[in-house]
Amino acid sequence: MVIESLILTLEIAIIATFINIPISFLCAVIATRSNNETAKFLIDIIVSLPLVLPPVVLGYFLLITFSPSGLIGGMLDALGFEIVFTKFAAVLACALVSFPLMSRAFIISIQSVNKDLEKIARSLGSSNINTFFTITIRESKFGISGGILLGFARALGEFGATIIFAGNIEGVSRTIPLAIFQSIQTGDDQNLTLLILCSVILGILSVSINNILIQRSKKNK
Amino acid sequence: MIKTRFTLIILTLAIVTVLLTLSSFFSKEDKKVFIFAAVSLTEPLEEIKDIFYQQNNISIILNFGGSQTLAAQISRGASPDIFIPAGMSPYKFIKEKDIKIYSDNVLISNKLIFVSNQSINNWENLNVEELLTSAKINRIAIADPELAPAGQYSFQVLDNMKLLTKIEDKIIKTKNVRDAVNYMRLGLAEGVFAYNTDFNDYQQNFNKKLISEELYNKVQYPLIILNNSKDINEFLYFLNGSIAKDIFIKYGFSNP
Amino acid sequence: MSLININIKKYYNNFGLTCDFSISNGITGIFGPSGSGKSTLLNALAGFIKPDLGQISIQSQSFFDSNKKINIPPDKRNIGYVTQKANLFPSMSVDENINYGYKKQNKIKLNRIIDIMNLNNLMEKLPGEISGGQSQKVAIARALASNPSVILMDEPLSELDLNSKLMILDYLKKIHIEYKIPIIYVSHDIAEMIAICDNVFLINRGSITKNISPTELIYENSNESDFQNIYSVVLDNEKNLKLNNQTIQINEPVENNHLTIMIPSSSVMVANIENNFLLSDNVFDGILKNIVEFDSHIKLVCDVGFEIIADISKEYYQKSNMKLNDKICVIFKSISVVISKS
Repeated sequence: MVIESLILTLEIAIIATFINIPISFLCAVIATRSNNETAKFLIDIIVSLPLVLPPVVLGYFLLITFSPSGLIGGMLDALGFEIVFTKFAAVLACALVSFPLMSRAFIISIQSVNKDLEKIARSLGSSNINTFFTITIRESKFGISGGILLGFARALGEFGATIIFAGNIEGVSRTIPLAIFQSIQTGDDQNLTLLILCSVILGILSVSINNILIQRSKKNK
Repeated sequence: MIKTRFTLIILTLAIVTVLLTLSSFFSKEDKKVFIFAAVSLTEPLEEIKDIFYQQNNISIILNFGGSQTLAAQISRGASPDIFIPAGMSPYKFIKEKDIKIYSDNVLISNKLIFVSNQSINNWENLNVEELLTSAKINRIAIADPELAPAGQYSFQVLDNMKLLTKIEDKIIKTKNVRDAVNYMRLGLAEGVFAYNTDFNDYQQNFNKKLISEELYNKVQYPLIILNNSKDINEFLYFLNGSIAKDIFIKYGFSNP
Repeated sequence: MSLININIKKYYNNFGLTCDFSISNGITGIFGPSGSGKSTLLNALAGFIKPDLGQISIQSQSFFDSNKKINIPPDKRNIGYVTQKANLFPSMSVDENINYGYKKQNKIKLNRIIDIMNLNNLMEKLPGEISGGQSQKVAIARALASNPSVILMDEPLSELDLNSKLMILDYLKKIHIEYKIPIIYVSHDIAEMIAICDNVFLINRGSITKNISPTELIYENSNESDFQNIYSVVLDNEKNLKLNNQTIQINEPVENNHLTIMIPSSSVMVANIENNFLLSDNVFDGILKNIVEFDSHIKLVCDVGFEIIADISKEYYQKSNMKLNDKICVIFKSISVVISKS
């Protein structure tokens, strides 16, 4: 039970993180490079709201949107896809909850790149997009990898949205936090200890890697 | 050079994401009978699931949660085949929401007990009233009746024994019955109202007292059928059979 | 023939830029106090700021025209841009930095730039590992490698120590001789301007006010007290340098054939006696060409085969009874000559 939920947790968190990377990039680009104030305002809401809303509320939103009677769920149902209470639902819940952490880290690290570097790259004949990839992203790579790690760590610990939207199903959505909940509810002390140990080790690992990244980024500057 | 490496990494990530995402869509194909059940049923149902799979090669997907949460999820579009809540009120709740129900019956029942971590002389011969008013028991953990059926049954007992005002100061309300048990295990309370099945796993020795069944409504676990298929019928037949009943009894449940 | 034609207007809430002037080949200085619009002008030329009205054309190619709705993006303008800070790309080596804008089909040769700028032993280093002067050198080489039709320099020396300043001035002259790329040089340092520019535009409150020769700058800035005479010189023998037809003695031996030297105006002495029997390292006869009075002191512009500026006190000026076009002699010690080291 412990090993299975550990693997499941990692699998779900990794996929959620990969889904978040391009979306966070898009948000960071709009937030830092767009001249459109409305777009910036919208992005600001998008990257803040999941942070301030309780995960349970997010899970509930996902449930009513993706259930077969919901707006998106209805369309997917017609196509033969069901999302609620699947592994993909667990991934979506983790992705939504960890999204603000990743995108905010992206925005901050891209904002902190010296704008003069971009100007010089442009003057050297590099197009807007090329400059973004070769200068902006490259110079903020430690901040960006820190953001990815932060998002991943948050996805590892996701509980509230997952249990509402993806349930608590062994091998599908019972990640470590849900397995801990389950063990407390059934009084399974032996597994509880192991699961908490796993959780703590994962936490220490992500914090340590994050610290290494921060130190490396400082050394580079 | 830098550009190509970067593009390659992004591309690989994208492909992996798409593949993993698709694979999770296909995993739905394995699903045969999808069950929502109260957390307190975890152990017997998982045992039953394994035996049933060995005999019939039909897999059971179990989703455990608080009964009221599960009912709310069903009312918001979750569609399990079978729903087994602890108590009748979640059943009433989904009935009111016009969820289509194929059939229902009472699967099993549970008994209410009073448990303490204190060693009280002559425990065997004392009655519940004497225990509850004992000076050794200063705090009694009970699930909040607003949130959990166990709390409703417990308060019913206190009401019927006319003890509510007498021990009101001792009561600590918790989110659910399992939290109440944990309060006592952690020493935050000396006594707890719980189900007979809540004490299957603990190594520690606690003093238990069964509460007379005349003092509260029967604690029944309804079996609610929300869908219809050959596999579901197969499982229902097994669930009402003697193998399943024996497993439930092993974990402290009673026949209805 | 004018190379760059600028006629633009740009309005901000509390500031407006109105420029109408032409720049020809060579090194053109743009001189003005901070906040006068120098940087805004450069940004508009490079394409980072869009003017509200007007035209910008370089070598008869239109980069901006508000009537024809032309606004070429910065990367298509082929304009080199060197800023106050070197702004090297921090995670790239010097080599990668220089190669960033380099295209093989360009006629400019990378190896030649590296040789002229003496960068061979820096190529593998990261920007964090080299000094400020070296970084600015790399920044100039990087701009040069993109084969620009003009290079814009926004106070490129203001963050450097004196020695690095002389070194960079030295290299700027070398590349200007080698490549003849026109340079627009923005600064508020008169000495730098006199040392490097062929021609200077004054800018104030967003408008070009005057077009003058660099030495005339000395009259423009009334508070300037510390001034450096900067010269490009040729090595005669190890302790003697040739400047025009004069020989300047220095204190320590040097090896470079071409170098840049600096003599602070405060170390230069002027006497209205017409002989050279004085026993000093550097004594030159010449004519007093100009007298500029400041609150605290007086600057004398002297022609001794090269132009040199000296600071003297008011008391000394009155006592000595010097007049314009008087024959004078200029004295400075060899030890006060600062030499660039590359």
